[in-house]
Amino acid sequence: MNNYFKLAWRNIWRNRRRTLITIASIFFAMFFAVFMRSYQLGSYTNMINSVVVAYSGHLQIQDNKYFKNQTINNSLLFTDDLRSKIESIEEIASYDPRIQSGLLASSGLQSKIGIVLGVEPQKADKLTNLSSRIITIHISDEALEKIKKLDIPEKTFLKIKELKGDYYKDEIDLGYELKLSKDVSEKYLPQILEATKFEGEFFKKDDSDVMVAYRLAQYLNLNIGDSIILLGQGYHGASAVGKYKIKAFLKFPGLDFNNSMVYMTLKNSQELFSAYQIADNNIDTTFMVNYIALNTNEKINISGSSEKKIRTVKKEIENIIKDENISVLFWKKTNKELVQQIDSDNISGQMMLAILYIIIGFGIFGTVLMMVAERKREFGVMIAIGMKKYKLAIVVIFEMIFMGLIGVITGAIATAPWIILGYYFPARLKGDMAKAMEQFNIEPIMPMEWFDVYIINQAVIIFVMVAFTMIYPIIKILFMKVIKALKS
Amino acid sequence: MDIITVKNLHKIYKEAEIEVHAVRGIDLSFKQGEFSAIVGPSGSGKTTFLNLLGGLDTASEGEILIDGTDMEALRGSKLIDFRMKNIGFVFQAYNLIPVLTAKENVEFIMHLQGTSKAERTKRSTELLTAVGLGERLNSRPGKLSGGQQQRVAVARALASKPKFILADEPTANLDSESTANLLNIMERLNKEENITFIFSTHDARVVKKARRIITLEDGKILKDEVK
Repeated sequence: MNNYFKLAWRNIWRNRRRTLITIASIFFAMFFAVFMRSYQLGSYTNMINSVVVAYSGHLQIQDNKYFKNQTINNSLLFTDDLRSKIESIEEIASYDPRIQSGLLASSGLQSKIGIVLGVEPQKADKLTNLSSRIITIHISDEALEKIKKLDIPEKTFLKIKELKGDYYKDEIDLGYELKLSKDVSEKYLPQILEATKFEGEFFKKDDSDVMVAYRLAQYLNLNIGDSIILLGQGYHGASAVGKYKIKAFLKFPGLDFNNSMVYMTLKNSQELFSAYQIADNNIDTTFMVNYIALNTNEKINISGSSEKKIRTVKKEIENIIKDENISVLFWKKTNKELVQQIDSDNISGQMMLAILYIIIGFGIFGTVLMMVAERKREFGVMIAIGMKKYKLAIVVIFEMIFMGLIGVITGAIATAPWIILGYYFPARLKGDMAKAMEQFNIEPIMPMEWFDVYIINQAVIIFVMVAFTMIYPIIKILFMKVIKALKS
Repeated sequence: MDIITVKNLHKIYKEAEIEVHAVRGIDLSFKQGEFSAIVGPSGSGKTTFLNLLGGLDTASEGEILIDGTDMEALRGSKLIDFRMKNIGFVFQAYNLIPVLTAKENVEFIMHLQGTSKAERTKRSTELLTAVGLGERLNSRPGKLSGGQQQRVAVARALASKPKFILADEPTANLDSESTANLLNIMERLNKEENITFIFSTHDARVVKKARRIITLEDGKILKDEVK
């Protein structure tokens, strides 16, 4: 076998140009396939992260009736027993019991439908990194006045002026918009941040204040420290009315969230919606939640094996809770629209890839045709002197495998820097595209998917493609008429 | 003792719907140690006859017995195996494997036969030394002259210890000096090691060295002379 390896290896370098054309075809197939797939899967993972990880959770524990009819009346009794059961499962990284309901939010003469989300602050922060959504920068008129007084370049000031009225979570968020040069950034950014500083504070466990999404706050002309009135219907028809002081503004990736969300502590929300049951002794009170969102230890991604692992955790929770009235829902069920969106987009992406494979497959096949035509006489000689046809076919298969391996490995290596770059520094979208993504509550970025099984999948597909192109020389060799080959 | 017996051999092939009767009922035999040349004008059927003897082509009629084995009855892998063990080939265009060195080319056929590495190395070195290429063992065909390549081809043909060697116009691409060299080597191997050589040739220098000359014309034997 060693000699066949040697023969095959030397054969591929005999006609360097032809070999390089073949390897280049495989290289580009691999490079573009991985590059395209990484972008595609990266955008799906971003979608999932924006919606699932940052909000709905990998799994949700709900009352059976809640999924179909999401009203406060289909709440779940959140007992100490249920809490301790959840906490006993090691695979659960974080959980957040929630009350979620639509209410009318108003201030002064302005009113708007909002969504109140009652959460346990520390748990919500652990689950969705909620504190990172707090706005710390506001380009207000006062801030612009302060910046004008600073000795900063006119061009930079005009850039900042264009952002008048906007809110930003932090300097990174602002940095994406301003795109300052390194020099200007180092010199002036601290002063700009100082001038635009916006006070907002994450709420505590028993806080009676609320945090409001910034676009809702803008609509209602609210500021930190102002009050917001919430009005709606609570548990079993009870009225839900409350006045709350605003502690912070929040900024989410999605437009819907920014237009509607009001966060308050779970305790506050349970009182607002009268979501509790008092025992017959009139003392013991059990509070309710609409659902419990939870994340597992798995890092969710579209391309990896996270789904199987999360489903295992789901099973474990179901086994521990053992309550027929309670359902544990997988994120794909609680985010059906997102899944459909990903699935339909995935099909179009795969069709693009299929076209790429076909084009490049024909390129490879062309060089294989040339190779067979060029070496027909040589094949004939080898068979004439005693080499069995199948052994000759094996040598040609080795040649194709060598070229395939070189093309696939170099192609994969060439995509690595792009994947690393695109993963850590994703392209941030602007304009209509960004707005469209925000409408679906997706952060308008185009990250690349980290190295995962999809790269192997592409390599396998390309190898299958190379294997198809091998069929022609194998058939040619196996059915070769020696005399014809020698005369060619 | 005859090592090759040819009985009533015919070969008809179609070329653009026209039947060509290339070999017309040849009856012939070759003994061990012969140094024979098959001559005749172009289209007389020399190469076709040689191809049939080598099992590279199949006869339309008749039989070829090599040491008693009917070669026409062999097909596929059995025929390839039979060729490898019994017949050595020297082609007009040398047809060495370009990516292998002279030594590797000679060893290649022994490798196919399953000869041990030590034996392969020993025999290939001996054979190449015998054809005067002891100094060029590691040269690839591209680095050798036409005459040297043809000598490697002779060494390769001998490597499998065949019963006979078929050489189709072996000197056609060689200059006088290389031709003389090659013929001397083949003649020496024939005399010293009793190896049977059958040439098809136009070359008068080959004819001069041959001890039996078979003249073909229109696919038939015109003359069969032993010097």
